[in-house]
Amino acid sequence: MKIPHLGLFSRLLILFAVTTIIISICIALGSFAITEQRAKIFISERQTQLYEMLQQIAENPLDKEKLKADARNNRVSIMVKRGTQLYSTADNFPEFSALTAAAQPIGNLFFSKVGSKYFLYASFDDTSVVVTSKIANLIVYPEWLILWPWIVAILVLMASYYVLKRLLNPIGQAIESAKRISEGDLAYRITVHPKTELARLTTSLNKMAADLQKLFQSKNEMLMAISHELRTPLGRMKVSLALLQQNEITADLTSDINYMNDLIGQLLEGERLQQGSRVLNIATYYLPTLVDDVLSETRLSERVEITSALPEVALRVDVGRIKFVLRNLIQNAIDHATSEEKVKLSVTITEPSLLISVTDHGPGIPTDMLEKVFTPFFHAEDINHRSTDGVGLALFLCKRIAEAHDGQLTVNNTAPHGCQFSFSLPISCIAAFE
Amino acid sequence: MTIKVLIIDDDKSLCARLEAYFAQHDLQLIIANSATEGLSELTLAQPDVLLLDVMMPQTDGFTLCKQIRLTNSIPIIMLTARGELSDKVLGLELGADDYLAKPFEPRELVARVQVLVRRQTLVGKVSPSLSFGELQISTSNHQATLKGEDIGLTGMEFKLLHLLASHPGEVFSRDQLLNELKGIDAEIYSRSIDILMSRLRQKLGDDPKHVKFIKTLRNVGYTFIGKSA
Repeated sequence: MKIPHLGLFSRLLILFAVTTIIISICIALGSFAITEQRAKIFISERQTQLYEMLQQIAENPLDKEKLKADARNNRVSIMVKRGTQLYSTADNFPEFSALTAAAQPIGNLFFSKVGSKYFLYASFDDTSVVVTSKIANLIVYPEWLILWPWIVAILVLMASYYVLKRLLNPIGQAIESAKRISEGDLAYRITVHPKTELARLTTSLNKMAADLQKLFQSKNEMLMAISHELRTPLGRMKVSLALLQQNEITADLTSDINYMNDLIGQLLEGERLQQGSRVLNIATYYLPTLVDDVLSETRLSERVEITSALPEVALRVDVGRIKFVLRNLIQNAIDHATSEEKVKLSVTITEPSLLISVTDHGPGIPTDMLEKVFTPFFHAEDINHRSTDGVGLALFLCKRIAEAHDGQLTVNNTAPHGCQFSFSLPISCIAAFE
Repeated sequence: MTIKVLIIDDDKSLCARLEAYFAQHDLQLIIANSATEGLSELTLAQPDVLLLDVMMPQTDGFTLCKQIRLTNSIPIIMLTARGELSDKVLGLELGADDYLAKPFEPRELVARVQVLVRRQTLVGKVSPSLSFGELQISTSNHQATLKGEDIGLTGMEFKLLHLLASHPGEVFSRDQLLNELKGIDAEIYSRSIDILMSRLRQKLGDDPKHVKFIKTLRNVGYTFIGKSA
């Protein structure tokens, strides 16, 4: 069905008006509808009165004006056949022979159905009087057809539901696309619908997504280029430094170059992680080995106490990035320890997540600073809680990595002093229990 | 003998400095600033090692690496300033032997060049072996020793152990193992992995209660948990 290009308001108005009219008619017809069987019973109960009425017409001389008036007042059509003379108030009567052929007697009366119409007639001497009612013809149906008004009402409701759904489809799609765009799927586009207000909405959303995509793409290219352009001179500087005689100054310069390189790398990683889980390189890895790798690679194991047996499970995660998180949390905790007490590491599985917590015995973090430790370039020297490498991005990246895995990274102070970083991963990251 | 290293990189300044640094370490650096120049130097100078920059105008390092690998088996180290993990994977898949992110420590570059040259000249004589405490896995003679004694692995058992031990911690599903081992025996089937695994474990002396080397993760697969020494 081709809907003309009306506004959404007009379309909805037409839809509701048409639906209301059809439904009302159907309800009215449905409530009054009776079967032929019931109609015959109805007639047989009143057959004496009806017979008398017809008899009156038959016995009186044929008064056309009076017949017309009677017919109009009672909303019926009347046909009188006297000998060869035939008179009817409407011209939709069938041949009299057809009526008699289909006739079924009800007492003195005859009930006859020709085509889809019902007639009632009686014969007196040389006169026959036939009556049919417009209303009766509307509400009397064969048994199998009795439910049609209800069926039509349901069909109309279904049709209007379908049309309404189609009309409002772009809104649903707009919501869906807004959701997908917000999740980072900038390549997603909505199908554009005919020219309605909603089409303008979808076109605008599509344009917004395209603009955002272009913006992010150019931002990524820019970052790539910056990374390349900045790292190239750093590389040259490193070679030049290596040519010099090694002393304290060259060591400082090397350390500064490494700092700048880390900064570039971590800024880029932060940008990449903005795209969410799509950037992750998921692999299946044995959790105890993962923890062991982190502890052995940085010789941190003597400073760390694993408080409970590590769950012997395989994880489906981005191994490199999860190691980055663990390494940074543990290094951070060690860096801020004020005593020789070991940093506590625990890995527990509690529905609905796998929880890795790292507890240190440092001075803790002031409550108002707790959330700020995850912001980029957070250097709170006053609380002595800088991130490991001094770039000020590591904790920010750790949080982004946790979020890309649908997990969380939070921090809270522990009594009497120290703080605990809790890194949770959804239970779905576990490949299977042993 | 002086080791000849060819660098294909459009950064002339870096190349010049590296040349000076390499000279201090008894390495000769041949410089090519474009892909075409590099390809001709490759045949003319017959270098021992090739350093290849990823980001170059015209032909990028990955394409060039793939092209060179078709005809030449020279050890290749990829250099990149982008430093993305995907670069590393791509570079190694295309046939590079090693990968170094810019800015690199020149000392490290020299060390890696020397390792590659040594490996190249010693091919067939000594192969790298994996060592996990009591367990030694020697790639050259397909032999594994436990506490110094040969445990007599069959070809399949050795391949299985080598595959797992060269990726400690990584979990292999039965299907993955099947695919990897198919090269040796096309008839191998799912159940036979289990039989193979149980024979291998027996030879490794792995007690199911105190697993030292190969861990089973039910419904997931197998992983090597031996600690390298």
